[in-house]
Amino acid sequence: MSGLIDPLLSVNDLDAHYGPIQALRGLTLHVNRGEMVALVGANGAGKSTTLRTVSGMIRPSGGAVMFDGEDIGGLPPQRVVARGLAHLPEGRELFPNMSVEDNLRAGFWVRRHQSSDYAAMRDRVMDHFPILRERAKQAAGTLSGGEQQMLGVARALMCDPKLLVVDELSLGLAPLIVAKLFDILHEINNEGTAVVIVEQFVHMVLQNTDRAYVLAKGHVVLEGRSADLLADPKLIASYLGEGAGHGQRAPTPAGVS
Amino acid sequence: MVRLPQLSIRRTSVPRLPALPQIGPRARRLAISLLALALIVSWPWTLPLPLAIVTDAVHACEYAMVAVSLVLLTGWVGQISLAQGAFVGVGAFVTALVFRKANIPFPASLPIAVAASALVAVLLGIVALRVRGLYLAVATLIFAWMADAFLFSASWLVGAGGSASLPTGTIGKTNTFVSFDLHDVRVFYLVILAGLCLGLFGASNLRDSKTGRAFFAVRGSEMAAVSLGIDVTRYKLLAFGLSGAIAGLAGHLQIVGDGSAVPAQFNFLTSLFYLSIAVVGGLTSLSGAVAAGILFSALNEVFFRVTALNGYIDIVAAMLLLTVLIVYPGGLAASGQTLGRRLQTIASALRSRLSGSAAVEALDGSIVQLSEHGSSRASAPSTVETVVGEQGSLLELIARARPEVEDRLELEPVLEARGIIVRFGGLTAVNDVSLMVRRGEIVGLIGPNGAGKTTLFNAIAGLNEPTAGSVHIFGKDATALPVHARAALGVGRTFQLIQLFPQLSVFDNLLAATHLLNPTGFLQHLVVSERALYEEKAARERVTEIIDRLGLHDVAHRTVSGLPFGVLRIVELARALVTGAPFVMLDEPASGLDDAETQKLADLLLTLRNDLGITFLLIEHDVAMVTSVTDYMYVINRGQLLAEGTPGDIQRNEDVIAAYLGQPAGQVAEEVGA
Repeated sequence: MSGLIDPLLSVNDLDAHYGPIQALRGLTLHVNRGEMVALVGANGAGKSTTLRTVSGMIRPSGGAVMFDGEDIGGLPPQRVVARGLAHLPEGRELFPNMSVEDNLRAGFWVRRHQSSDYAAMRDRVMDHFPILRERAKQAAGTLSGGEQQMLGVARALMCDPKLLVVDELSLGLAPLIVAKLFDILHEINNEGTAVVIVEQFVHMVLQNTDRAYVLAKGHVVLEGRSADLLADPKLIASYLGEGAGHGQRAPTPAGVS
Repeated sequence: MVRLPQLSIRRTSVPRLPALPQIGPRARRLAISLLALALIVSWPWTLPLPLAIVTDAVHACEYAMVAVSLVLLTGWVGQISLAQGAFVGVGAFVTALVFRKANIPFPASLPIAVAASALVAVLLGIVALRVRGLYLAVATLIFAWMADAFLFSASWLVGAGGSASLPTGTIGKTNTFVSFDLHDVRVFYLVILAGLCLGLFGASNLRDSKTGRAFFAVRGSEMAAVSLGIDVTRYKLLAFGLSGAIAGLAGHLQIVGDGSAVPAQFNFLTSLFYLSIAVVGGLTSLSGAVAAGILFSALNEVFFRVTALNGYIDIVAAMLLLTVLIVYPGGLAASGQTLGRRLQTIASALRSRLSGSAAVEALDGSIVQLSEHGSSRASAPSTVETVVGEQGSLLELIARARPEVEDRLELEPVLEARGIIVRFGGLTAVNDVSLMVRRGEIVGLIGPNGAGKTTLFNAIAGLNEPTAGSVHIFGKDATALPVHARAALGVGRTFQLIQLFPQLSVFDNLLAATHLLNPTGFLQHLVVSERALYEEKAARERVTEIIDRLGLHDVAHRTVSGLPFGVLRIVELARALVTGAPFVMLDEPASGLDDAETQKLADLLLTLRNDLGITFLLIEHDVAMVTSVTDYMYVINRGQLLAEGTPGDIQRNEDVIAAYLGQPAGQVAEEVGA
């Protein structure tokens, strides 16, 4: 899949700040068309910030973001999403008092001028999520955690994105639900939508993606094919420091006194 | 002890307060001061001005006094008050009351009136302890309204007929030399001027003392203030009391001058008016408060004299306030400073042209001067280079190098947390975790996102109360102690989101940390006793040494806002060191730092441990950093202790690896069929 000359998303030497704190330091990565890419790394490494900067929620303080041949660096999020880059933020951020259907309609906002297509788009999206069809009239806040995450993905798909970026897909969800969500993301990916996933559970996300970037301190410290990274000792070292790895088993917690 | 490169330029590298510019020989300055004083005192008699102008000057003094009381309470301690008019009213009515009931005349009634206002203000302060910001403003507003509705309508206080009166009198025998006829507004001007000077004297002394820094610290960050051992409750109440006393003094003098007072003079609109004066003055500056008092009094006069402007004063005052808020948030004080700096530049340019050299003489640095606070915040060299660099003098803190032992169990415990459980409602965030930090160790506490690290850290630091378990610090049970009392046991800390005092310079931020080392009390600061002066000098020397040691000279006199993040981290660590705490807790010290800065921080921690014997506990996301610097580590996951051991053990622990990376090749993934 990789190696195409014209990547869908290319991020070059990106800097971002929260007030005085620099969260991204010269981050460079790319996502090819139709690819599934993982972003992993320790807490505070800049994974979520990368997604937020790419989707326009944070203005970059340096570097470039090219999406589908256009410079989108510094564009406000509503214009980024209109170009086909949908961001499902951490914690889903659904409209809890609105029905499932209305949440999906809100996701269609940037395509609202093509309102005749709404029903078609909704049906297409709901084909991936039969359970949401059953619950179309229910308030989003009353869904289970897994269903809410599905609705989050569904709402993001309503703008017919070329690239879907998902932050903390598995947060607070049971492993079986997460597996199901990965299934659905694969379906979506097979239909041609590129997907970027930020995830705490490194093994799971590496087993489900084509390529991955390992972030630390706001830049990429390791990248490669996900399958290769799984076996790379440098992966563990990037989390636990030099010298870390599967070795002898450490003593179990002893009494402290 | 590691030998450190001795700085040969130590004398010149010592950060010092910018010396006051030497205007000339002492005698000349004295002469100028005396001349100014003579002018301020005598102009009502010597200058050919109408008496109305003297009355304006009296009003200016009154406004300035109340504005000073607000500067202290709102500007310095951050406690907004919309009830200042009520404090003034209490001072006025109590003056009349003690005369009516006990026949106590003017000078003798002063302390009673002042004490009454201070007491009322402290009572409001006790209520206000529970609320902050907007709610505090509302609470004081309600208080002002209640004082107006109930207190000032009570006949026992105000007197029959809804107005209090006080026969204006004389002090001494009329027409003898030491007599004051207060009917003469010029004489009264002297009285109120003395009152204002008294208020300014006390307030400015406090500002440059331990008390003043505690005030600024409470405003800057209550969390950081308590971590330095500052009893926030005490200092808030002290500020309310002092502010009430100054406002009460203004009310007292007001009724002495006017001879009568009615409740309408002290309603909450008056409080708003006073607040406007303080805001226009800049809210934190005493000289700004005085300038604004004069300005508002002058405006009053102009709008009263010029018929065409009659009735527009409120509009103009409101516009003025808006302009200040939007365009000059620093008020008159900031504008004055800018003007002063420009004048200074011009003056030094002139001088250098005349003498052919830059005004080097102006910098006499060998003495640490207890100079004007404002000048200590003045601009300093602007280069922000290597902060963690060369180490200077050998600071004798708790100079006890880490003993080399085979087994950490031989080391004396510094912190012992036993069976800590923290529950929030039904959620158990920390479940039965025990950990121990021993003297001279650097101990790391790590865990994946949501593991409960911060909750545990806060339970140890005293920010939240554990449901069960105990915390011992240096062998003393600290489980139930408030944060400032734990600080007194010898615990310093830093914060994940830096909690420096933004209005203060780096130097003053560190100076605030000498709080527990300085035994003098606020009365000594009020009158600048010799002891207070001595302690102040010692505190400054201590801060200077720490600044030297951490190589912070270049930024010492810069305000912390605007400094690079990496520097702020070091400043916060320096502040914890200034307290002299032998045990320092670091909350995510490496977050927001780049690789080089993280490395510098790690080196610094090791140096401080090796040279000064400081014990550290750090929680940190950057596990690589923790493993490189710690002697021992605790890993928690899902609120429970997952593993403990040396960094090497932890790095190879399969449970830890799984906790950080997720279960390898789990069943789940196979089902998905990647």
